[in-house]
Order: sequence, then structure tokens, then C-alpha cells
Amino acid sequence: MRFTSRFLGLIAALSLAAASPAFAEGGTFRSAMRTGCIEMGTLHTTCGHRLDETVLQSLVHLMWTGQGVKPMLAESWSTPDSGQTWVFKLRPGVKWHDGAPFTAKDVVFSLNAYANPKVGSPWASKLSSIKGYNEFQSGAADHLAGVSAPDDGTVRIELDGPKPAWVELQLIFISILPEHILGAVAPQDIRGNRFWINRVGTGPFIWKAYASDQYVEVTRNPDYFLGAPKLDRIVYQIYKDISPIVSALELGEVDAMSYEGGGVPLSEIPRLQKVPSLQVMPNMNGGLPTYIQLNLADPRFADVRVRQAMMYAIDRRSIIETVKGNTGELSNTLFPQAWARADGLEPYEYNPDKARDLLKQAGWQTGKPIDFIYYYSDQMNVDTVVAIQSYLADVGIDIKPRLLDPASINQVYADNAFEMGLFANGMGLDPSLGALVVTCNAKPLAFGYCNKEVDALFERGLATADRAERAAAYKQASVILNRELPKLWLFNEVRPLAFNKRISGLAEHFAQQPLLFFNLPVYNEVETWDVR
Amino acid sequence: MAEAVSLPGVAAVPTRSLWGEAARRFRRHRLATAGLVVLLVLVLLCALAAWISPYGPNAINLRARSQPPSWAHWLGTDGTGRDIVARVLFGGQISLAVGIAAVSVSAAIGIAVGCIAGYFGGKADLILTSVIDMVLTFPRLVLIIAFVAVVGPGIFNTMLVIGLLSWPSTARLTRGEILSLRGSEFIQAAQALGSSSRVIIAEHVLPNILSPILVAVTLDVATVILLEASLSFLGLGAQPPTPSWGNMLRDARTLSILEGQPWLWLPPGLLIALTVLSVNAVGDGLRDALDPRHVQRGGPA
Amino acid sequence: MIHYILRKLLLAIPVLFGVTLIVFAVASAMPGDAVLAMITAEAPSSEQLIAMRRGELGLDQPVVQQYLHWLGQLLHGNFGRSFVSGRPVIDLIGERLPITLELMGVALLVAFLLGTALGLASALRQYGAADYGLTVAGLVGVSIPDFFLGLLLVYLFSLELRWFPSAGVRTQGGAFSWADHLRYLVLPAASLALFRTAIFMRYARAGMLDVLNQDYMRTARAKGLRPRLILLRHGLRNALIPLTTVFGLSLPTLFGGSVVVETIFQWPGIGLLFINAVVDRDSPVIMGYVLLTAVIVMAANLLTDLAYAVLDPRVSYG
Repeated sequence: MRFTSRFLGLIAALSLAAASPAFAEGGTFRSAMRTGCIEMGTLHTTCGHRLDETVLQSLVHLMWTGQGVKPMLAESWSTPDSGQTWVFKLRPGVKWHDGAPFTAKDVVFSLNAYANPKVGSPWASKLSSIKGYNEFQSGAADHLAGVSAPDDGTVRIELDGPKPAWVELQLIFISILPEHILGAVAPQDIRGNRFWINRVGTGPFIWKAYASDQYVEVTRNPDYFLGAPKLDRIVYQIYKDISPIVSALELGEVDAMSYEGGGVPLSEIPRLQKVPSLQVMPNMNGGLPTYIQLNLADPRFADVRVRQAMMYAIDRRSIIETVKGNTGELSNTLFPQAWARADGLEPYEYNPDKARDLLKQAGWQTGKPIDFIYYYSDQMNVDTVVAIQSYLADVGIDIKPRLLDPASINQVYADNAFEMGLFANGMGLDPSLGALVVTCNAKPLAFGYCNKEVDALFERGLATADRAERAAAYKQASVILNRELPKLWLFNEVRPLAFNKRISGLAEHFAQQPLLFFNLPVYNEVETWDVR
Repeated sequence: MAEAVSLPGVAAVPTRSLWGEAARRFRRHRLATAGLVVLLVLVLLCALAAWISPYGPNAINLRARSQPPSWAHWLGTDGTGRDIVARVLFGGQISLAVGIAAVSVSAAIGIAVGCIAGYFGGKADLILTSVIDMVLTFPRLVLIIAFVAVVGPGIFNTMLVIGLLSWPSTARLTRGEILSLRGSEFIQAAQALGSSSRVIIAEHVLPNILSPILVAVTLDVATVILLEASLSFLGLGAQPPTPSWGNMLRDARTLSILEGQPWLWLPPGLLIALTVLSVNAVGDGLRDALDPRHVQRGGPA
Repeated sequence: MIHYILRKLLLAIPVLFGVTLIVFAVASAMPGDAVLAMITAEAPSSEQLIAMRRGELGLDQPVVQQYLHWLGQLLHGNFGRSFVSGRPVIDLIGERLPITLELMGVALLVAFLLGTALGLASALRQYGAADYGLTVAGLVGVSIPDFFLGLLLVYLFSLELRWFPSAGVRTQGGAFSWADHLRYLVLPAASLALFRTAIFMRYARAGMLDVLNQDYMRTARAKGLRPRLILLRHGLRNALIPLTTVFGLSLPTLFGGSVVVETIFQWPGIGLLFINAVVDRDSPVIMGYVLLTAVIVMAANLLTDLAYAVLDPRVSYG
């Protein structure tokens, strides 16, 4: 029958397919990347900076050890007045991948593009310290007054006050864009512009090809100013979900994963540890404090005893040992960086009786269930929410969990309908990032918390670049945050990672990183990496 | 079934033996009988969940998490130590309840709309048919996802949304049946006698279209259970910690659970398939039993 | 006939209008919007920025006005641009549609061929063991949710046996190879094909049985004529009528894709595009998708009716 022959033909094709090898070898580094990081461009996505480690670049890049920055497009810089004015001397002889020369014009253009309200970049606030930023944002001015180029090789940036740590904390987020290409594009058309799917940069790798939602391929730049890379090319393979990335790592289809959007799920670590070619790092500090966020304006949560009760009611230690597979650490305050935390913080050990006591003292009434929202839908997070719900129910606090997407969550914030929820915040880079969630002006994420002392301490933390002085300020803040519980501190998460050992330079890079830095181009010496 | 109307010259419809005949045909259809039994057992087990299950569906036990089947836990435990048997039974309550509730809603609306469109015809028919066409133009899952995004996830919303979007096919069927009945003699006789439309529909039309509609509605239950499972699998149905067969399958999205802990996802998946299979079998049996023309097309007698 | 087609086309317009209006209203009623979908804690946005961005996208206008704007653009042949990436909706759909068509097309084709063959075979051996077995198999086939089947197939063939990959369309980076691509196609297509095969099988069997039991067939067999070919020809011809209906009913899913299966297997098709657009509140993409599927449904209905007219001489349209 004709059907049979057709069927046989299909079987034959499949057998052929199973026999052929799927992957080519050679100086190719394959990295997994999540969707949504390409088309809109570096200016508009919060996950696109992985590509800015290899194609586009900043004036300076953060060292992978987290301590200090390395000169990239800026060769050197100085501040004659303790951090209010910065003069950058640009690296001479650098060319864009299309041959045009890199000059100060590109830097001025880029800074203005980031800050331009018509462009609408979410990174604009990183430049808020530059003189003229507010005028530019409100429309009173049409460029950043504080940015100028005395000559082709120098850029001068004036801030609104002395900010000694500005270069290490803010400038690193800004990637330099080619003025000769994007300068001609209207500001509102930069987002989603065709440039982003065919980028021209100054980095060690040149953009070669892009297939929508599938991969980006970049090849070696022989004229790179720090020396031609050893690798032939890098392929960024795009995945929507973490599961295929884990399979791909296991099967050798990719060598590395980016950590934005989730590291290796805990449940997958044992199976990856069995693969001899993989180096697994199960305890990579994610710089990711996870906490329960409360709307302090809600009368139910205004009494600190209620919040303390909730802390005592949840057995965080058990959750870590079971649901989290013994990874991550208990957190009793905001900062994931050990150097920013004081000793002797109240540990809030699991004690449901004490919790019930405190609730009685505070006059707690179990009324209508509390609307509890959360965002991450991976298994571990869902299990954590289930456990939290159970522990709180034990002491008479009734929460009703709802999984919502970002648009809905932001709408809940905008409607002022937020009650309670489980959130995490990537602040591995620096404790100063905590200001986004606990200072008086942090709307909406502070949710009614305002302690002027804490605000002052955060400001002190940015007034110097000296680590010891900054630590003193943050440590004091950590004590207050531990005592006042504007949020219920739960854990500092890990983001387990895994890499294929065949790429030399890759695992070393991550082993030296104290915690993960989100959304940043990090200097990882990729030009020295090679296939073993 | 209404009692036979005795009118001079019109033969009374012998109702009782028709049902008896149908029941006998149904019993001969082995698959359908088996399906009915399985269905009743499942419904009973799920309804009695609170008495059968030694554990609650939400009783966490972190120290006993992810355990394979054992004497203590017949189907093992999940990621927070909850007993799978308990969750499957209570989850079944949700899945079955949504199925029945949603179908009730859609059947009620569908039959009503179909009756109006079919019986009264004219402009009402034209408008209603256009509305039916319009709703049938969407792939259902698409519109349901959008609706649920608006009203929020959850059991009740799922029930409502599925019910509100499933009525058109029942309406179309009802309308078709009524159209073919409109010309029949006993309807004309009743009309000639001056009975009101409502009486005619209730006492003459409905009983005669009951058979194909019953079959269709039964099969609808199967579709709706599958739909609810898909929605819950996508995270739009019952929210954790409430179990439902569909959302228990979400665990299997993680590769290591899929491979290493099959006791988590095989039971709910198999139960969905078994329930739907039974409902389909019963529906098939009903079709054979109530409509003699179909006898030869059904399964072996 | 021409009148019939024209009437159908004319009726299609208000239905399309109604469909798009309702979907637009529903999409606009979803909490949040495209601008809110992009704010994260790490990159907060000022009120000013949010307001400005809304203005750019037209989200600050009343819903009716937004709909009319979309409609106006549409009548000029412009499907709008994605709120998220800024890329033209036509491009996005054009990129993803062939990928979906491929998956759904293969599944549909396999289902049609296999289902028809099995249905005919089953009818020829009515009341036999094969018939019984296939009927039960058919019932099972329509009862397993396709995503559960997908999970089962991944479990068996991808994780345990390692015959096929678990997700994606092809091995990425490097040249395209059909052999490689086919390996990725097998499991998702199989997940989708089972249900449809069972349906086609049932209708093929029923249509065949109809013919088999006609008097003239019994006479032919009694006379000892070679019934096989006659059976096949007439049976097939008769079965084609309901089969066409089912085929027509499957066309919308052909173009609309299966959201659930595309999610499990990471198949970057239209279904995945739609679900992402819903999460991102990307109205232009949502509307583009809905319009596409609506048009396909209407075209499918029309084509099915026309096919009926060709296949069934009893049908005639005035």
C-alpha cells in the first residue's frame, strides 16, 4: 500500500538523522542566552549586557572579582576635585568594527542617548548624577550639560556633587554606541532599530549573524586593542526556558549559560554533577536577597510585632535544608555582601509559639486572606511559597498566593493594591543598590517605609570610595533594617551555574567572582579564552 | 420524560419502553459500561477524599519531601512533602467539578440560545447565528488565555470562562435539531391547538432533542476536562497550594522531576486520560443507545 | 454557487469586525500594559518616563480610539509594530508562521494519512479483533491531553532512550541540516498527531461502514466480484465528506499553532509568539495573531463548504 512505503521512507530518513553527528568542534564557544535580550537593544533591555562583554563595550569594565574596574575604551581617568569632575582620556587608535575611528563624539553621543527621555532607556537613572540630567529629562534642555569633549580623545563629565565611587558604580552600566551609525536615527526610533540585530562595536568579537529567537554568532576581531582573541567565534544560543539550557549543557550543545533569568535549577544539579565534562558551581552567590515584601501602609502590617511574628513563624532553616537543597544562606538583613553586614543581628530563629504570642500582643485578627503575589514560577520558588503559606497558616495568618506576570504586578503597584508578596532583587554589585527598596524616596518599592537615618547612611556610603568607610555606614544600616523589618528577610539566593571544562578561562572566571553581577558587562578576559 | 399527551387522532408516544430499550443497548456496549463504572468509582473516590485520605492535600512535611512510593505514602510525596494520593484525590474534586460546572453553564446557555434561534427563526436567528459564528471563530484556548489574564487565575474564574466560551457548539447543535423538528406533525398539531411557544418547547421540542444533546454534552465534559488541564498546566487554573490534576503536571516541566520522580506526574496525567476516556466511552455508548441509526458505527455490540 | 460565496464573504466582514473588537477590548482590560510589563526592580522607571512611553504607544488614549487607530492602520495594510521590540508585526508573524505551519502541517498530514488508512482497514475487518483494538486505541487517542503525551514522549524517547532531543528546532550555530532538523520535529509532531489520527480514523471508519452496508455492495460481494477496489473507491469517496469537515476544522489550529506543545518543545512558532505577547501585553502582536486565525477559520469554513459541493452531489448552493 502506498502508505507503507511512505512510512518506510520516513523511518529511513530518521535513521540517517540519528546516525549523523550533530555538533561541530573547533574554536567555538557556545553560550546559552535567554530570549528578549537582542532585538530591543542594550539601551532598552535588562538582559542584553552579556553581548556587551564581547561586541559593544564601556569606557570601563568591572573586574570579575568585583574589586575595581579595568580601563577599556577609556585608557585613564582622573578627578581633580574628589569626584565631582571626571576627565577621561580615551584609548587611541581604536576602530569600530566597520573601520570608522572611535572618538569622544561616540562617548558624548552615547551618554546623551542613555539619558534622553525620548529614547526612554530604563538605564537613564544611572546617569542621574550628571549635571543637567534633570533638565534633560524634563525637556528643558536637549542634551546633558555636564558632558563635553574638549578634544577627540578626551571626555569631561561633571556631576552634581562629589561622587567618588561614580565610575565603579554607575558608569559601568553604559555601553558606548557608534555615533556615526546611530547618530542619524531619531531618538524614539533607536529602540528596536535594525542596528541591534547587526551591531557594530569595538570589542574582541564582531557581529556576524543573527537568527530571530535562535542564535547570535560573533567572530574574532583580529584588530582588537587588547590582542586578537584566541577563540574563532562565539555562538550565543537563545532559549526561552531554563530546562532546554540544562539539557543542552548536559549534552554538550552549549558550554556556558548566562545567569540572568535563572541559574541551573537546584533539582538539576545532581544530574549535571554526573557529567564529567561539566564544572558545576552549586553555591554561586547570586547577590540576590529574597524577601517578603509588605505594604507598610496597610494597617495590618504597620505594627512591627506582626512582622516579627511572621519572621519567627517561618522555619527558614528547614526551607533551606529541604526545598533549597542546602544552598543559599539565611538572611537577616538587606545586604548580600558579607562586608556590608554587621555582626550580632537578631537571628529570628524559628519559634511559632513566640510568633503567636507576638500576634496576640499586637491584637492580630485573622480576617480576610492576604493577597500574596509572586513572580518566579520555577519549582523551588513555588515550593517555597507553599511552605511559607503553611507556616503562616499555623500561627493564624492566612495568605492566598497568586502567580502574576510583571505587567499585572506593576499594575497592582500602580493601583496601590499591593498587600504582600515574595520578591528578590539583584544587587550583587554593591550595597548601595539597596536604596532602591528601603529609602524614603524609593517608590513604590519602599511601600511606606521611611527612616531618615537609613537614608543618611546610604548617602554616607556613596560619599567615599574607601571600602572600610563605606562598610561602616552600611553595617549601621544593616542593624536598623534587621530590627525594623521593613521587609521580611529570608535568604540570600545562590544561582548555581555549570560550565563545560573545554573552554579554558570560563570556569576560572566564575570561580573568582564573589557574587553575580546582574545586567552588567563584566570584564572576563574573553580574548584570552581558548578551547582546550 | 413528560407523560404521553393524549390528543384525539395523535398516537401517544410510548416513552417508558424507549428508555428501557436504550438502557439495554447501552449495557451491551461493553466499553461504555466499563467507562461508566470507572467514572462512578473515580467520582466516588474523589468526593470521599476527605474520608479516604489519611493526609490533607496541603499538609507539608519538608523533611519527607520528594520520596518515592512507600507504605506510608502510596504514591510518594512531592517537593514539600505533601502526599500525592491526597493531592490526586482532592485535585480530582477540582478537575471534575470544573468539568461539570463549566459544562452546565455552557449547556444551559447553549440550549437556551439554540432553542430561541431554532424555534423563532427570523431576525433572532440571524443575530444569534452570527454571534455563534463569531465565538466559534477563535481557537478557544487563545481567548480563554486572554480572558483569564483579565480576570485573574483561579478555579472559579476558569469555570466561568470555559463555560462562557463553550456554549456555541451546543447552541448550534440544538438549533440544528430544532430546525429539523419544526416541520414535524406533532409540533404543528400542538401549534394548531393553540399551545404557547414556551409550552411547546418545554413539552414537545426539548424531550425529542434530548438524546443528541445529551450525547454532545457528555462529550463536552471530556473536552472541558482536557481544557481545564491545559489551562492549569499553563499556570492559569487552580493556584498553588490548591491541587488540580492539571497543575500537578506542571512539576514535570523540570527535566529532573520528569525523569527522576515519575510518581509526581504520571498519576495525575493518567487519571486525566482515564477520566476523559471513560467519559468518551460513555458518550459513545449513549450515542449508540439513544439513536438506533448509529448502532453499526459504534463499537462491537 | 457564486452567490453563495459572495454572501459568505459579505457576512464575514461584520464577524471579523466583531471578533477583533471583542479581543481588543479583552486585551485592553488585562491588568497592566506593555510599558508596565517591562519595569523591573533593577531598572525602575520614573513616572515621567512611563507617561511618555505610554503616549508614544498610544496607550493613554481611550480604548475605542486605540481600536479605531489600529483598524485605520489595518485598512492601509499596516499591521502595526510590536510594543515590545518595535518590529513590524507582519515581520514577526512572517518569521514564525512557516515554523508553525511545518510542525502542524506534518502532524496533520501524518494524522490524515495514517488515520484514514487505519479507519478503512478497521472498517473492512469490522467486528474483528483488529477493529476492536483500533476502536479502543482511537478512544484512548482522543483522551490523552497532548501536553501529557508530549511529556511522556520526552521522558521515554529523549531522556531514557536518548533517541531524540527534548526541545528546539535544530542544533544551533552552524549550517542547517535536514537530517538534524527532522530529529527535532519527531516528538512534537507525534504529540500533536495522535489525537488527530484518532479522529480521522473514527470518521474514515464510519464513512467506510456506511458504504459497506449498502445493498449494492452486499450484492456485489454475494456475486463474488472483487470488492476490494470498488470498496476502496466508494468507501473512500464517501468517507471523504466527513473527513473534509474534520480537515477543515483542523485548519485554524494549523495556522494558530498549539500553544501548549510549542511551550513544552520550545518550538518558536506562532503559538509561542502569542503567549509571549499576552504576558508582555503586546497588543499589536495579539491582534495580528487573532486576525490571522480568524481569517483562516473563515477561509477554512468556506473551503470546506466548497469541497462538500464537489464531493457530495446531493449538496447544492443556490
